[in-house]
Amino acid sequence: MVLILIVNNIWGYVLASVFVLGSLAVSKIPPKMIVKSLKPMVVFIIFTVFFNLLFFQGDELILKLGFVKIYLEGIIFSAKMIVRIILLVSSATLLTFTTTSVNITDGLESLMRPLEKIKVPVHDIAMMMSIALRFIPTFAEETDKIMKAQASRGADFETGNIFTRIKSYVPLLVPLVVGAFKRAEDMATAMESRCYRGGEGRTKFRVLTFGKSDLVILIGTVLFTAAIILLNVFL
Amino acid sequence: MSIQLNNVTHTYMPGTPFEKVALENINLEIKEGEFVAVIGHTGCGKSTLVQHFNGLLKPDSGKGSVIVDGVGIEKKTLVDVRKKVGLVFQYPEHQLFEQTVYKDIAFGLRKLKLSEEEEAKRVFEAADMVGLDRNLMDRSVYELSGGQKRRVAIAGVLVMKPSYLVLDEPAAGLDPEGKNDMLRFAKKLNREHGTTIVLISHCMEDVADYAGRVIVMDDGKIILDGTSQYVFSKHELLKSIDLDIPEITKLFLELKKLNPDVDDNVFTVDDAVNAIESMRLKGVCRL
Repeated sequence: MVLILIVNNIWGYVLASVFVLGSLAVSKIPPKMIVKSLKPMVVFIIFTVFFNLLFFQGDELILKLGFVKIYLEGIIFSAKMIVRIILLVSSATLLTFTTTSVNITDGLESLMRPLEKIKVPVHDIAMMMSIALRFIPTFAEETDKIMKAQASRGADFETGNIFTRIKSYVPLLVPLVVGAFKRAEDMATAMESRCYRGGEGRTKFRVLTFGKSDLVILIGTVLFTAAIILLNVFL
Repeated sequence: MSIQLNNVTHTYMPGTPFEKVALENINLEIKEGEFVAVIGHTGCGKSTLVQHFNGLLKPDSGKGSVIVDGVGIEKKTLVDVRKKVGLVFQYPEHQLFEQTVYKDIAFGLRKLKLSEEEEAKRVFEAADMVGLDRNLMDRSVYELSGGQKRRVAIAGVLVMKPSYLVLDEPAAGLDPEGKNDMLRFAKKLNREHGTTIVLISHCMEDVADYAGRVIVMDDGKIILDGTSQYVFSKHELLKSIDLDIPEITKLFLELKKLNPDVDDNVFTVDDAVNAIESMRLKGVCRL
């Protein structure tokens, strides 16, 4: 994903597209789901394209309507942005649809393991990440519930100017934050009563092993990275 | 004057793999002044149903309508409908947020722009109704006990003077004393102020004791609707959808197995007293 951000020429885009599309094809995610995950990005894409078209200054003027000047470079740049956003989002989708959050944090933990040598609390970071991911749906549910409860007694989240609207979120945010703290406390008690005391000497229920497919992907990724960098440098 | 549901169907997350029909073709009228209990096991659509009463949820587009006191629920009428229909969620104490008890109860009133005296009057009235000590008014809501917090939250809904009050398991997690207080307060509100009460409950004794009408839901549909005597006499049907009947009814059904002359139309302790008395007179049993 990071690589997509540094791509700077046409061939790089072609290569990245092939790589992402290929991975999507292999992953067997239904194309419908991928299209759906791109849907919320449509507004963002239109917004980006609109501003790039308006404000990008180039040499070849294509259209001039009053003060609006659209340049050829602007069009090319916007097209690149579209491809970039689509590739970014679909590769993120690829990750979340194929890998559970537990696997992601476990993977990160073992990748960061060498950092323990310089006293980075790797296990704690990974534990924090997995707890954070775990509670996102709970938090969303809670938000919905409290919003409904406050609406039932006369709260209004939708009308008014920007300031009244921000103020109207206080009745939502206070109970939400209080609830989050309470839950964190309960969670800590529950973990302690099961004798959790950090990562030291803790064994894993699921042990990640480095298999053949991991090797293939590792080699593929290294080659892809090298190719992108070479293209960036030499073209 | 009533809440009317016509052909209401509600689907959660339509068009996704998680699509779930939570309500199917519900037709229902709740008249002013009734005390209605809604029972059914977890996930049968009770909460979804009551959230239609004040427009928190809308029926699927083109399917059905909800009419409160002759007015259909739309965006324009939403504010008025929510004033008329008060909804107290499960564990309502989680919604408290103000610095003091007084301010929290008064929250809903702020939109109405009442005079200070009028506001204070309504806040104290609501607090009295739920049995909340007036000395607590300036305390922080986070200093109160669980039962007191719940009273504050309910007072925060009552202060809007709703003509319909929906209580989603108001007694959950309270001690027996607090539980009885909650139900007695609902009964009082119903009797003295004519407020329509809709009570969601899992406790069949409470339902038999307090509700005049019982609605039984299963899998998004209403399968029984009638007086508590009528509903609890269908114990076979209730059993088939994993619902219980009052313990005292079970006892009398067992007794009937021993002696067929035993009257099994017993749903509350008062019923039991009457039944035993009449059986004694008829000579079915000796005491």
